[in-house]
Amino acid sequence: MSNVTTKLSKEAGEMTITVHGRFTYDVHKDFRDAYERVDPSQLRFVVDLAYTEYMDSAALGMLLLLRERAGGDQAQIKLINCSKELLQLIKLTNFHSLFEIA
Amino acid sequence: MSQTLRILIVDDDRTNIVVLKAMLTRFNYQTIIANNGMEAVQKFESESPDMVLMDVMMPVMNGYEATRRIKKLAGEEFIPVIFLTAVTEDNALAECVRCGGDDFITKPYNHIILKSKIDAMVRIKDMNKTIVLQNKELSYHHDRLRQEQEIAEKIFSNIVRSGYRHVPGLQYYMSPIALFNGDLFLYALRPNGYLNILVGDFTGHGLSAAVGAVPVSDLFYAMTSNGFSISDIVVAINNKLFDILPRYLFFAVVVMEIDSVENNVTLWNGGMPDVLICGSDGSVKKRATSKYVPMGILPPLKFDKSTEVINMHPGDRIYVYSDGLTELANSHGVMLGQDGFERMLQQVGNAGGNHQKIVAAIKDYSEGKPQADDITFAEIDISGQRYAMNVEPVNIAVGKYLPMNWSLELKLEKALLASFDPLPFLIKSIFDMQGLQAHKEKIHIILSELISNAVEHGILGLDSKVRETPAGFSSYYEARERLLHNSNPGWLNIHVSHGNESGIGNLVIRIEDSGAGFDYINSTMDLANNDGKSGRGIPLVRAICDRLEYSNGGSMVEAVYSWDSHATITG
Repeated sequence: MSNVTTKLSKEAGEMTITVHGRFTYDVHKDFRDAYERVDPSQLRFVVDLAYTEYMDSAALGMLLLLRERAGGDQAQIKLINCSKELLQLIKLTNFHSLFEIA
Repeated sequence: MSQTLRILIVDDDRTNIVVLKAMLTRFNYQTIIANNGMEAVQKFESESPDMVLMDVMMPVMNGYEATRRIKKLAGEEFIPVIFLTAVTEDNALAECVRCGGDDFITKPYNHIILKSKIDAMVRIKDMNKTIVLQNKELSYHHDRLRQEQEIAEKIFSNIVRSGYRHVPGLQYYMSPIALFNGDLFLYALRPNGYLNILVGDFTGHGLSAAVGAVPVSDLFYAMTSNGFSISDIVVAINNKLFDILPRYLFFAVVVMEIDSVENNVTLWNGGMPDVLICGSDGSVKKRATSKYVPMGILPPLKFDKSTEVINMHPGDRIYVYSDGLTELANSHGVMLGQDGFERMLQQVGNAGGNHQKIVAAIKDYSEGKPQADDITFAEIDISGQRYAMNVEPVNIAVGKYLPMNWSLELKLEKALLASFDPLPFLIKSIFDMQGLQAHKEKIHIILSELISNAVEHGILGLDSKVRETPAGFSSYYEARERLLHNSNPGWLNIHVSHGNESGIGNLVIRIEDSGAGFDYINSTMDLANNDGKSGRGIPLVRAICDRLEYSNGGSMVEAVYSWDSHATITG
């Protein structure tokens, strides 16, 4: 079962979103709710993919939507704990030019 | 229920019937009487009661059998059958439910309990009625949606496949998982004989993915037939998709342009798996890895339209495919993968196999297991093809254009030389004024070859001999890009005029550049003696033109192309 958890640090102005299980279209509502509860343009984001088993192109689409809501080119979004497969997908789509990969 | 409930009483005992009937009448129910199972079935058919109270032991037909038949006749409609029985043995009671009954009460029964059971059944019956109704509505809407999708799919196919026709050397396999294919595969010939191919994959599958395919197809076909290069095509498609797609949808795509005469492929890969150049034995000789963000994500100013050029040898094949292929799983859930696919190509290639064998190997791998994503796979073997000279004539109504007198001049300097392709503009102007569509291919070749010669050899001073080795080939194109963008390249003057000599139209193309000229003598060998690698352009142009003359050491060239307005033009 997939689910999305968040941790908001007001002092740091940063929200960490963790996606557990499969990161596909099935979690799109949970993922969007996670950042729509706050004003995404005022925050930095960390998307923790340590517990993400699988990610498809719909997940990349959701990251793009987050990027848009968080200010587009001004958005600060870091993807952390990417698996080898995930890094391959990111390299293939050149998403490292849009997101910080750590 | 608004109407009075009609209950069928089935019993062979007169006393039982009388007592039951009196009770039900008191509760305002209507009753119908049957004296055995067989009669019950007949009454059920003729009277259509809402509920049945059934005895078990009866002559002619017992209650179990009668219930089986009644339930079968009732079909989708819920007709509750409650057994009233003197039997108390467990197996006999269980049989009441097994044969289709909904409940049972053992005799002697309590009137209040029987009334409650009837009420409970009425409630279930109402619920059941609603579900049946909703199901009917649902299947009606489902059928309608399906029908509308089929119509939409037909329109979609007509748009997307409008360009599909046989091109020698090109073979492909497409296997969509839904009615609408999320993969897009397009190909068309440019007027100069280049083969343009697009293989792309929209996020998601089905209708939403297919909608974006319509403008992509339109742009691809229109721009290809108007002679635009692929860097212009990728810019136009990206900008269109950036405008129309919601932010979470994007389009991973490879666009390529294949020159079958010079044996090279120019391509742009954003988010698709590696394009492979393989020898005839299936071994991978070169690969073009994705270098860019897929289309529809970056705004026009951030989009990078740079292309790469790969040189091939005769017999080499190009393989291009969507990730539905590399992510194809076998019965153990193991994905084929990039390595697996390349091993497959090698195995089939070693055995002398062809496209059909590879497609068979792909199908074998999945062992009939349903695939998770759309699959597109194309093989291009251009050896021995000469699309430039083989293009099917386009049947365009030529109209009654008379040769007219007109001229136009275009001067390009510095940065414009790198950013603006004058070819589509010139071609369009010539056709708009003179209607020479039937000569499109030839005029296109003359203009494109003379312009690229003037830019590459005249202005930039590149030596075409460099291109003869594979290493020199890519450094040639790298140098071309670098010089065009970073140096101060000079100018190009294109003069096109047209005149009428007793019904013969003369198209005169004069191109002058700021360069110091080039070795045009060595580049003007016969077409037949040319190896096709370098300096192919000029002999080809000479073969097409009525006159071709270089002057000023090669920095000025004039080509004359004549056509007879009296001749019937078939293309």
